[in-house]
Amino acid sequence: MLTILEHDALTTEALNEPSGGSDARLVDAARRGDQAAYGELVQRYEQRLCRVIYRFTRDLETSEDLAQETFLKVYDRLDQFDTSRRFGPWLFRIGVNLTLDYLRRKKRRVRWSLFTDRYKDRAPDPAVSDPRSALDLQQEVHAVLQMVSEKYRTVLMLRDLENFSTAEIAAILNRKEATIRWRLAEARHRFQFYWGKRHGTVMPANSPSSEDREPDNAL
Amino acid sequence: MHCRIARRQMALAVGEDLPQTESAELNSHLVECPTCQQAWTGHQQGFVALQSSRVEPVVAVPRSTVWPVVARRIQRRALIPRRVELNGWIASLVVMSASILVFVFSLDEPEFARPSGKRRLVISGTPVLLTPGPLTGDNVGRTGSSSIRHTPSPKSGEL
Repeated sequence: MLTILEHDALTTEALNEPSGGSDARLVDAARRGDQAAYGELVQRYEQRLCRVIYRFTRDLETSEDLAQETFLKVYDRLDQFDTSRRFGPWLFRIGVNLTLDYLRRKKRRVRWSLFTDRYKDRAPDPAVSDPRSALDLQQEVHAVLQMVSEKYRTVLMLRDLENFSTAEIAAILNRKEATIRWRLAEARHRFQFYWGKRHGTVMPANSPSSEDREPDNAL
Repeated sequence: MHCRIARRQMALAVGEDLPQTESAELNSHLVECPTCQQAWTGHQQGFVALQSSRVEPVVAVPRSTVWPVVARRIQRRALIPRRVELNGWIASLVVMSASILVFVFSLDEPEFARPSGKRRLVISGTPVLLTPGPLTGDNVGRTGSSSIRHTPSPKSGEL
């Protein structure tokens, strides 16, 4: 069984144009209809992309499906890609956006089903213990991450779980690096607050700063 | 350094995202501020938990390369001629025209055009009763589809 860290070692260069020809050259060839060139691009990025998507969805099948969709969408938009820029962040931007859209749709569906099932008896079964007690550390981290709002969670996951640099995250999310750093600080702050709250170690001084606003020039 | 700034900086420092110069400033603040020291411990705990989540064991993702499927889908799409991208426009035009029609027909009809409307009109001192009714030889050309019947003026004794 491979671990995420082992995967990291295998795909460290995922965003940094690994050997075997530059991304721009492959994109050019793919634009001219060379499918093998596009295949090389897909194989170059698929592991990292699938893993990033998996971080958000936590479902293998869904992450593979979304990765396929991403590669199809990227193929359709190859003409729009500016070859003077890096291909990796552009690909990940499309992938992350697709994933976030998927999660939003899923959330809406869940809300709707809760609404339509409102007359059903949903009282907790006293014979079943609180499922939270069975959560291991990773699941608990995931549960706390869900408490953090999406725009902060995305930055936190990309930086602290996927080890993208703030500059790379800025390129992926199409924001200024200063904005990403601001969001990262806020995200860690919020995560720490909810984590402490869950474990009863929260300090009043550490509550998330609701009055703070993102810089006005944030893009 | 203000504690509020220190809190923001320690959130970056915990993941080594704070420049060296600012880190030094933060460290000196932490030495003299016990409340921020506590907050720093909290940040470290949260960060350690997050980092522990990175080593979550997973099977290889993807389980096999997605390229064959992607290639097949690209080829399949190339074979099927693309639908005209007007489909969305047609639907929205239909919806838009339907809404305009609904809006137009829901507008309040003029009162005189209402079939059940019954009004008393006074034309040069003579009250007439407007009632809806079929066109007859008597009322054609007078007031459209309404027939006009002269009603006798109330006598002074009746008032």
